[in-house]
Amino acid sequence: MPTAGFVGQLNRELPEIAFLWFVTVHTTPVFRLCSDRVPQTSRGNIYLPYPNMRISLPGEQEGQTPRVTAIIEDADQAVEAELRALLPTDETLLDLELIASDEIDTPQVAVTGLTVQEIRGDGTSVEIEMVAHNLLAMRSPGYAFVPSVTPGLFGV
Amino acid sequence: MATPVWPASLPQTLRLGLHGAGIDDRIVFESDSGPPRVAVHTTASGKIWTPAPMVMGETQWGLLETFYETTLFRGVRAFEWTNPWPGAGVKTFRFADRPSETWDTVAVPLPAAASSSQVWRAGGAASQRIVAVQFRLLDLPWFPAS
Repeated sequence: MPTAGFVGQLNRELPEIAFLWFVTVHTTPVFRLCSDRVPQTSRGNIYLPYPNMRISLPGEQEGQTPRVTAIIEDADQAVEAELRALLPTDETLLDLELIASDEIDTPQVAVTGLTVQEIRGDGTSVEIEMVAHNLLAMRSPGYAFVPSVTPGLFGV
Repeated sequence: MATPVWPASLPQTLRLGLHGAGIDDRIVFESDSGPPRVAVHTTASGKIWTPAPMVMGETQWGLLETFYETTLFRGVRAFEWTNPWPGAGVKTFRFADRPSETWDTVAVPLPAAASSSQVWRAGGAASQRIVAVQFRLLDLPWFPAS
C-alpha cells in the first residue's frame, strides 16, 4: 500500500524525489538491480545501479495474466546471462518494486512472483518480458499420471 | 583488483577549452495543455567532459593505446586521475568512447651538437610525428569496482 508521502509526491507538479525501480532476480546468489546511478541499500540488501532501465506495464487484458516489460539499456552481458539462466524453469523468479528515494526501505508498489517469459538482447540492451505467476494454469501431474509408467509415485 | 591510474608518462592536466555537459536525468512529461511535468529518475547525476585535443608524441600515443586496450580492457574499466585540472583532486573517469587520433608532422630544431647524419637536413631541423588525441570522459557518481 503506497504511503501518504509517496502519493503526495506522485501528485505534485514537480516531485522532489526520484521514483526508483528495484528488481530482484531469484538466482543463487540473488541478483539485485535498481534504476539509480548509485548503488542503493534497501532493507539491508544492495541493489546495483542500472540507470537506463525502463519498465513498462501494459494494460491488463481480459483472460491474460498481467505482463511487465523491462528494458535495460547499456546492460553488460552478465545481466543477460543471469536472466537467460532463469528461462528453463517455471518458478517464482523475479520481483519488481517501485520505491521513493526518500523512503528507501518501503516498497510502494510491488509486483512479485513474476516469471521470465522471453529475453531479447542485442549486446547493449536487454529486453525482458515477464508474466505474473498463473496458478490456475499450472500443470498438475493428475492428467498425465499413468501407474504403469510411474509406479513409484504412490508406492508404499 | 585496484582501480587503474592515468599513466604518469602521459600529459597530467587537461588543456584549457575543457567542456563539461551534465547528463540530463529528468523525465519530462509534455501534457496537451499546461506546463510540462518534470521529475528526476535518479538520485545522482553525472557529466561528460570533452577536453581540447591532447597533443602527445608517438611513444605517448602508444602508451595511451596500451592503457586503453590492455589496462582498461578496451575502455571497459574506469580509472583514476589526480588533478586533471587544478584543484580537482582524485577523479574517477571512464572513456565515453574510444580516443581518436590525428597525426601531424612538426619540424623540431636540431640541437647545436647534432650528429653529422642530421646536419644535412634543410634548415637544420628534423621532423617529428605528433598526435592530437581527442576523447571524451564519463564522470559518474559511481563506477563498478574494477
